Amino acid sequence: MSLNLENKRLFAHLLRRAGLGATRSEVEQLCRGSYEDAVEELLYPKHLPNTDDDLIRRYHVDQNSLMLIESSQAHWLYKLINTSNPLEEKMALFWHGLFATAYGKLNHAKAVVNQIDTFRQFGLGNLRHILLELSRDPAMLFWLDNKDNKIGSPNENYGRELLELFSLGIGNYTEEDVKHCALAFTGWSIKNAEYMSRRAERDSVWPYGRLDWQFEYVPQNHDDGIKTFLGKTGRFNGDDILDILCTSPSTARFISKKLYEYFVSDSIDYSAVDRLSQVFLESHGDIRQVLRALFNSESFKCIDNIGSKVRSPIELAVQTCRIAQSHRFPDWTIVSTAMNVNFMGQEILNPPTVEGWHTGSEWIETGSLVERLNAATSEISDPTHPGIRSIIDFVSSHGPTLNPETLVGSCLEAMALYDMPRSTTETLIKYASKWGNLSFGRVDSIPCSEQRVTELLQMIVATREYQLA
Amino acid sequence: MKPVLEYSHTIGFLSNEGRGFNNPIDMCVGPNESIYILNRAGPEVGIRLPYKRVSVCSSAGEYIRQFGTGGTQAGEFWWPSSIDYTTSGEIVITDEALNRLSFFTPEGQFIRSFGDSGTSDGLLNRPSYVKCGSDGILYVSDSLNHRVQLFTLEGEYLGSRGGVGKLNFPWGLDLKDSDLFVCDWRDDSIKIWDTHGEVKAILDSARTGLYRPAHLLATQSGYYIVADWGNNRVVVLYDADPIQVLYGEAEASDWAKDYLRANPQEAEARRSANLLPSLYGKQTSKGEPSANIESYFWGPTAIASNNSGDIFVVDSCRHRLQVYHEVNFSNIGSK
Repeated sequence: MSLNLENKRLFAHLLRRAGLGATRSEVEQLCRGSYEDAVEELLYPKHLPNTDDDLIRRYHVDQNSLMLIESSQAHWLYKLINTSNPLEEKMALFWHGLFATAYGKLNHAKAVVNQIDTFRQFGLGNLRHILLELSRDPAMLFWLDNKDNKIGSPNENYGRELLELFSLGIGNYTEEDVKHCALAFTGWSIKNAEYMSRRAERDSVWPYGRLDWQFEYVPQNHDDGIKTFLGKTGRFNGDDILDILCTSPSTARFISKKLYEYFVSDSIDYSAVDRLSQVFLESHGDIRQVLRALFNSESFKCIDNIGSKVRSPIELAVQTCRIAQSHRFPDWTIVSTAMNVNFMGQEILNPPTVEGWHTGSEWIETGSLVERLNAATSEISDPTHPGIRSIIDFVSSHGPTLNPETLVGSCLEAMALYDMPRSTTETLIKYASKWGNLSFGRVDSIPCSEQRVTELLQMIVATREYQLA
Repeated sequence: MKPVLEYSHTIGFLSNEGRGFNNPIDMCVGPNESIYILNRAGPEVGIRLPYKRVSVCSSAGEYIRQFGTGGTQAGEFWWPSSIDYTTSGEIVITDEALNRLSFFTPEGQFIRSFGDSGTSDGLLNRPSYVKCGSDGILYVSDSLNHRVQLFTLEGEYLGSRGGVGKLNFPWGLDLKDSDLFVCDWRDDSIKIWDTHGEVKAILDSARTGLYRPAHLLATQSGYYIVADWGNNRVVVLYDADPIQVLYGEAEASDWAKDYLRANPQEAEARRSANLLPSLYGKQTSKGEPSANIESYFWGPTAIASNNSGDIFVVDSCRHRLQVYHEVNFSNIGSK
């Protein structure tokens, strides 16, 4: 393989894993610099103003208040497709999967959207800060019942999940630690808890729609007694617990393992995780530093880990829309695209349980695979999308007459699919051979040739390899 | 300066059908001073399409009836955006998705429609607003073509104002003394054209403080009452200077009170709640106070008046009208 092609493959891998998919132009732009520079660009995105936000709210009036789950899912999908900070959004998805909070219990879509905003804002920062924001997040306070956690009648739900699912991991704490952790978070609640709870229970949107929730610390509901947590004793409040958690090697290992699973491979290389844990501890829980080490690691770049992870439904949809350059301006079709993601088995903003989604090969089952293929082939087959037009132009630039090999090769390159196995490529060539050579040299043959290109694109997104990243 | 407007009452309640509104986006005053409220609703999924409708009420807020539904067939709406009562006694509704204007009897029977997608003269790309002049000319804000187009009631193209580089996603319109007022939404300004099609004045944001103005009402008393959508407020201008700024004072409407009477436990919890909580951090950023405080305007999209001096503010994200009264009212024109 030429150095150039190897570079393209590595950059495309980086964009697919650390971002939300790769397009040919993005890969070629990144190839102008070094791999390390590309990692830094992802870690420190230029924060351009979100120029579309006013347009979204104007044309999607329902997305101004985000009262409904479908509106909110479409709203986030649009941002995922159009973001100029892909790693920021990817980390928001990561934290959403890890700190899974679901609309289903809250009946308040904007509360979950606000939580995603918090992940977007702090998700590349320090874990202690992220956990502090999470512990004060109204959606989380509601989701894991900490609004009901009061002196004299503690509710251990948040305290338990904080240790088990969000930081230390099971086996690294005792029941006593759970009890004392919960006591430390007594009094962390939301304003107007009774009214908001009643509205949520009844799914009441009356009289005038949802009201945002706000964090409130209620000192009289806080247990100020002595607590013992992970061997340390003191009059701990919630933030003291977070200090202890974030300096624990167990937390370092837990978060590093989750990041490795998310970005590198479903098969864990524990020596690589140990190295990331070390970076975590040395940097005092700085997620950006851990990610820099991860993206620059040999594990991440290892050939066995390239194109080996099953794309989640949202990743599959976003990648396809980015290739097609669809949904670049607010329009009503974004809602059905978001619904397709639900049908594929991932309701963003509404994960199935506190454990989030079961990922990897579990994304694929008979029903969801059909949905994945249908959604991808439908999105990629519309030649009015600018991205499809651009692919057609790129393919036709290869000459007035294209044989099947050139046609397939140029389509794969146009989609930044540099690592398609030979066997799949040959199958595609066989499929294209039934058309013979395509002609772009005669005006009357162009429409037919363009139609063939879109048919081939449909076949490419239906391959096994396209389901992987 | 003395306030121009004072709060009167609130009309509305969130509902998916019947008595109530769902993301109202515009309104007009029809025959017998009845008010027609256009519900944009959304998102566009099958079960929610019937939420798109026109609600008809008396000026005092008594529910009369509804008509229309979501869809793409004749007489249906997909992205309904504006409504007016024409000089020929018809109700006209623009649709930003279907790029057409549909006409109905005041009772809600579909009559006809015109409009097609495109950029050429007479074609439309997201018609956001319609205003019928006293001469029967329809002024249509053609937002993605960045212009205002003029049509007869039968759909014959008469001319246009603005264009690319001259208007930037125009939205709401008003007419007064042959002048055309355009909320140049993404330019944060109000542009005024005279009867000859010349720009007569520009009220820019440096002076007005407006951010993404959606609509304005030019009153006979010389004030401009602006739905300052991007700032979630209503601003009263006089000679381009803000002389009153309103953030909303909504209370429970009669319809809301009925709901609370029928749900006493929720009503009790509501009485104990602080509905004016102090906000901090992100909650204070643009738009967020309105999400937190129920009485505030949230995305006001239109202003209308009737012959009794009522000023109606269409409070789109709160599914209601906040009604004000002009303090020194003397008969003003109505939409």
